[in-house]
Amino acid sequence: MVEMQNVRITYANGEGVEQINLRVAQGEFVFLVGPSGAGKSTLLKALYMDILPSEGHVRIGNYNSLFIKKKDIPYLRRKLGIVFQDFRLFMDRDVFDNVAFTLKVIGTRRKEIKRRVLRALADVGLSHKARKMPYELSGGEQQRVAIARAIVNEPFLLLADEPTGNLDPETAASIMDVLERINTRGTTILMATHNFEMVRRYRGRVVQIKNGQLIL
Amino acid sequence: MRLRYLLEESRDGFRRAWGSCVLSILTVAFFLTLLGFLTLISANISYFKSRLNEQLQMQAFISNTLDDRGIAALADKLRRIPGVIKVQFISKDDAAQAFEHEFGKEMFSVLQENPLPASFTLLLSGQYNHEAGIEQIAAEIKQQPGIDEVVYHFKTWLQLQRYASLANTTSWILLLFVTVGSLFVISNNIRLVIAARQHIISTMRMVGATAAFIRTPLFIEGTLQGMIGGGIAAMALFFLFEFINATVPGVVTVPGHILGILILLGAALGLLGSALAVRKYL
Repeated sequence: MVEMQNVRITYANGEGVEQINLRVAQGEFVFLVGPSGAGKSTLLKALYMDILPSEGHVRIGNYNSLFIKKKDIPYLRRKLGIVFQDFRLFMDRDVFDNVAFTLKVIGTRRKEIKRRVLRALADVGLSHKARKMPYELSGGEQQRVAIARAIVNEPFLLLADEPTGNLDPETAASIMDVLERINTRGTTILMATHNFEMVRRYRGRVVQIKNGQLIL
Repeated sequence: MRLRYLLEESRDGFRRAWGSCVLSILTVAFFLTLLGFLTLISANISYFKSRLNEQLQMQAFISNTLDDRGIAALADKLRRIPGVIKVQFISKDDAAQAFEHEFGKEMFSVLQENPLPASFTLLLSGQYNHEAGIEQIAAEIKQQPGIDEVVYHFKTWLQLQRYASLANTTSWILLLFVTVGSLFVISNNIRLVIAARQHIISTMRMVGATAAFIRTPLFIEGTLQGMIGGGIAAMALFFLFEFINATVPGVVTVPGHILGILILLGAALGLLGSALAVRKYL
């Protein structure tokens, strides 16, 4: 369902990733571990097709980087959930509207939006803060809103780029608990992190990346 | 894309970034007021020019030897000269009255009789508002028996016409600069607003929003801002020219359709400005 074959991505400064071969099966929890600058974010960007490989191909469900048209990329992303280290919440709207936006994009009915947003907020334990603005929340709470926004659409794959990177260990553990719960319900998760210690404490396949190459 | 979402998102755009919205509206209002003001100045100059054309006239002084019947026959002849559209008789008494009105009664208290001749004031057609045309008519009038002298202030009239034309051209050039300048400022202003939202736009794309989905509310927002700016400009111009007209009667005021045009122009400027600004990010 997720496949990267002989993927090579090179930036103008010469950095990037090469010879990436990776398969992720439905329902897996995969940790992509490596130091800063190893190429973890590049790999994730290739998966949500923010960058297209110069060699090889990426396949996500029915979408293939070799054949995808620019206009189809939004439709691929609607089937994914993406969580970033810096949360990337819409600071001009409240928690409910942040989560609801993903559903508005696909034209979901108002009543259904309300039902699904409240469920997603309940999943991350933030029902009581639905009308708070992002800047009124702690870092951990903001990240949980970002996760709620990523799962509200029931994606088959959740991509998390250092989701605990900006959080203290206790809050990071609570975020990991949320992600584990989502995974047990069948959502595939690919999480990039540089925190080897944390990875050891959780179940999941570990894939290491160093200097732009996967270490087998 | 749901209409309700578009309208709500456009409305919320005002609420979320009211400061930049007010700035955009005031920018549009300022430039459209300036634009409308220059257009109306230009319209007033054109009106003044057409009034000048209407007032192209000559004065033909009548010989003292002519009796009433001769004067009437002469007036008939003058009316038949091509280019003459109106002939008005000014009797010796009328001339004396006008003279008295201007200079007082001193001259008549010294003199025993009225020295001022009777005359005809001839209104000329606008088609003859060039040197050759005027001179041709003047020569024909002079040929008529009973006419002593023909006086016309063509040079002054011509100079006024030239000034009016110069003022008109200047206002059109200013109008052009203001139009280009306003488009530039408005689009830059909206670009700044969108640059501030760049982070939001990039996140919207990450959650699967299409370019049209992100762009359309911004277009609606830009158009609405432009319309409000146009409305403010229309009101400002209306009251400004009403005030000027009350102070200087005869000034062309703001016609109703111009107000509508200003609102439409505001909407077009807002739409164009947001389209130019959005193009960079989407």
